[in-house]
Amino acid sequence: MAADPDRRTQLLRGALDTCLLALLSQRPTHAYDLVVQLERRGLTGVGYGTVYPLMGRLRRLGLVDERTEPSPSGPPRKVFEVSTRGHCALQEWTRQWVDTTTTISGLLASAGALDSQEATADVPS
Amino acid sequence: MSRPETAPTPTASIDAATTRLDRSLRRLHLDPQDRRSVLEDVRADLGAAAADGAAPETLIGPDPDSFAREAAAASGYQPRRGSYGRVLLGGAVGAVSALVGGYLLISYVIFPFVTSTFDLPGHYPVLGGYVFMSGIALAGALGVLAVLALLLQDRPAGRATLARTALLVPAAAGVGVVLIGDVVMGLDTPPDPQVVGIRALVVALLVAAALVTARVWAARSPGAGRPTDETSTP
Repeated sequence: MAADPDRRTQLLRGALDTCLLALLSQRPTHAYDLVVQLERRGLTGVGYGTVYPLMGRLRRLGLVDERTEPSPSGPPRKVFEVSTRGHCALQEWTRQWVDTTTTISGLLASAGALDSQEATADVPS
Repeated sequence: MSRPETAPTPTASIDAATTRLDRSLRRLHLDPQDRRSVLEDVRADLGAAAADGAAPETLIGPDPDSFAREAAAASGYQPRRGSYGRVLLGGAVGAVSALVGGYLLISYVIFPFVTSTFDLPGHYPVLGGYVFMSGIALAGALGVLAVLALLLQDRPAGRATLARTALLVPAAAGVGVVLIGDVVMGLDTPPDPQVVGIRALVVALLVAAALVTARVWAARSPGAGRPTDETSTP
């Protein structure tokens, strides 16, 4: 059965902000670069039209800060970096993600919908 | 490699994309500083995308209005409240247009049709005039509501303003009908263009007062400053 893009979007909806905070915790950058990084890491199809508003939301919630950085190709530009609150949120959201996916993988495995080895492999150590 | 003459340069594409986005943001009536902030961010990102070989217009997508709404809502940028002049002018234009249209429709289409179809017994010198004026006033009220529905799309307290307008404008038009009905019929003046203009002006002034009242009432209601369409973010 072909993958349903709408379903994938639904699954990503609750995890994308965590992914963006994780990427930003590695290196402050701008919204377009986050789109590129997501794609490089396998999250294809997440467009700028999704990422840019989401960054606005994270900024509004105080989870990311903006700072100006020199740009090699033009005038200085704003980049996002994770704030102190953002680091706390990233820890919490990562824990929630691991707990949730572990529980769901266990449920799927116990119900026979997921190969038990696959489930074990999916559970982060 | 030479670029085909017809292909837009990256700078031209970026300019075109940001111009479209600017139009969409202006329609949201954001604070100019917030609008410029979004435009600066997006322009820089479009430049980065163009440097990567991506077409700038694909970043924003085919619907810049949707992009602008989501970006503004997610960032918590609030549309500016008020804009009484715009609402008032639009409402007055709608009212006058609909009044003239209503007058022409009733005088030259509906009235001849009714009189040629029905033969009512008796004579109705007062009631007939009020029915005539009420029809025009109703057309005016509907015209105001139609124009406002367009003007208040995506505006703060837009629906609340429309609801209050639907209440106040017919009331104002009713008062207008009584006023101009008394004046005109008392003087037994034939409906020449000047008289029609005075009728339209009297009702338009009352409608204008009703519009301002409706807008103030709606804008001062609790929660009126929230964007009307704060959409979900992923």
